[in-house]
Amino acid sequence: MLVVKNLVKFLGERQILHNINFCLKKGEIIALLGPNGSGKTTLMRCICGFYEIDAGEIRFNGKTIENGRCEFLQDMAYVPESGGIYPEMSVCEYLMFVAKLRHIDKEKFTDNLVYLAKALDLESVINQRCETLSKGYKRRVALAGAMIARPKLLVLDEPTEGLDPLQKQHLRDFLKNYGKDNTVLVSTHIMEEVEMLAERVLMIKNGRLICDTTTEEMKKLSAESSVEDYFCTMVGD
Amino acid sequence: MIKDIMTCASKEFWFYFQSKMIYLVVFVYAAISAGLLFYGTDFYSNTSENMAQFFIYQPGILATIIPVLTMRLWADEYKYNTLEIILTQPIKIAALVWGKFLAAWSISMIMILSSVGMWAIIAQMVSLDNKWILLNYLATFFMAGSLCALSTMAATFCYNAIAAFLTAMGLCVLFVMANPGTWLLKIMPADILPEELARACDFRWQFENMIMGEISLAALVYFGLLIAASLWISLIAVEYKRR
Repeated sequence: MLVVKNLVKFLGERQILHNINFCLKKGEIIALLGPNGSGKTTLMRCICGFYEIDAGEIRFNGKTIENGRCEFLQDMAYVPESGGIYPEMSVCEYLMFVAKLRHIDKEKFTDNLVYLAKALDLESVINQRCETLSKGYKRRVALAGAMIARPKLLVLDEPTEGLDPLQKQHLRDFLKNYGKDNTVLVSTHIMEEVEMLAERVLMIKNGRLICDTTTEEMKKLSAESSVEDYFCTMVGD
Repeated sequence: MIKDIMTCASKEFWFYFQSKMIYLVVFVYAAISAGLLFYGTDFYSNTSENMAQFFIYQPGILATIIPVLTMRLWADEYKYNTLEIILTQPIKIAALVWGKFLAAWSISMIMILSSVGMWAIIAQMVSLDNKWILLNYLATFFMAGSLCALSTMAATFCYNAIAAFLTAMGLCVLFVMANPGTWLLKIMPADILPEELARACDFRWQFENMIMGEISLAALVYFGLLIAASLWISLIAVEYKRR
């Protein structure tokens, strides 16, 4: 589904990503791990077309961004760490705006809106202006915006940041369910989340992919049988 | 592409009305235009049939007011971290640039149309050539469009609204006030550079010709090229941010 081949990215003079190679398949939930500044967000931004890549190739369902930006991005969505929603819009207006950009017809939009409002518990705030929402609601609105077109690839940068424990659990269940038929790439620092959500882990350190394995394998290889212990061993100096 | 442009433009267009500032901007524009017309010119002793005294001040007024309309176009995308959202949507970046420009241009047209009341009042006092005035409004729309494009271009280079406003105003005032044609004529002999060609580079000269009843193809091409070039540079600037 998504093939990343020899990906290289510079920001200014600094090389952020060094020859990254991996591929993601349908029905996988993948956790992207790495210490701060390791290049996780840059990698996600490259995958979603926000950054131009300097070398290598990103192929999604056989398409590259160079062959057609709109076709490449049609079936993927990205939720940045900062959320990123328009404060002047109501939740419904925001979702409608994203739906228009993704050329979803009214009927499909209504179906998806009803489904997402219920699944992400947005029914009570659907007509509320985004600027009046709490951080947790803003995160969920941003996620709903990304999912309004039901993309085949969902890229999430620390999606549970700012959510209370109950909301976190709710969102993990939701993503687990969504990941059955689609692909979800999640960046996180919460190891508990990795264990609960992902089957596969990509680990980045200093812009290099140092590990592509399963959570089960990580536990087996760790002295303490935990993902966190393995992560610390891998990224520690 | 057209659908995406309209989606982006309508979003930006309604954002103007979400902010109360737009009403203040229109009021200030109408007040300055009326003030300059009635007290800054020989309006009472010599009213021209084409309201030239009103239109002659428009480049200067719009060069200072249009940057207020465009200053938030890109700065807010940074402020609210929505640039990542909008640039990862399946739309061409050109659609986004054109959408923002068209929204600003539409608002500037509405602002200019707020002066129509003055036209009606003056028409009660003196005889006016309404067809000519209508053409002058069209000329003002074109001129405003080129200033909107210049301001939008300046805004793409700035990360906050104040910087965007100051840069855009500086650029617009420079275009309106500086007469490159006049400077070129001073340094180049007339046999090398024909006066008409040199004058064609002047923003004010092109606009003043239009309001004097000469809506020529050259003037339309001049303002059209200014819009196209500014938006092209805006597009390059946004593409550059992706590197």
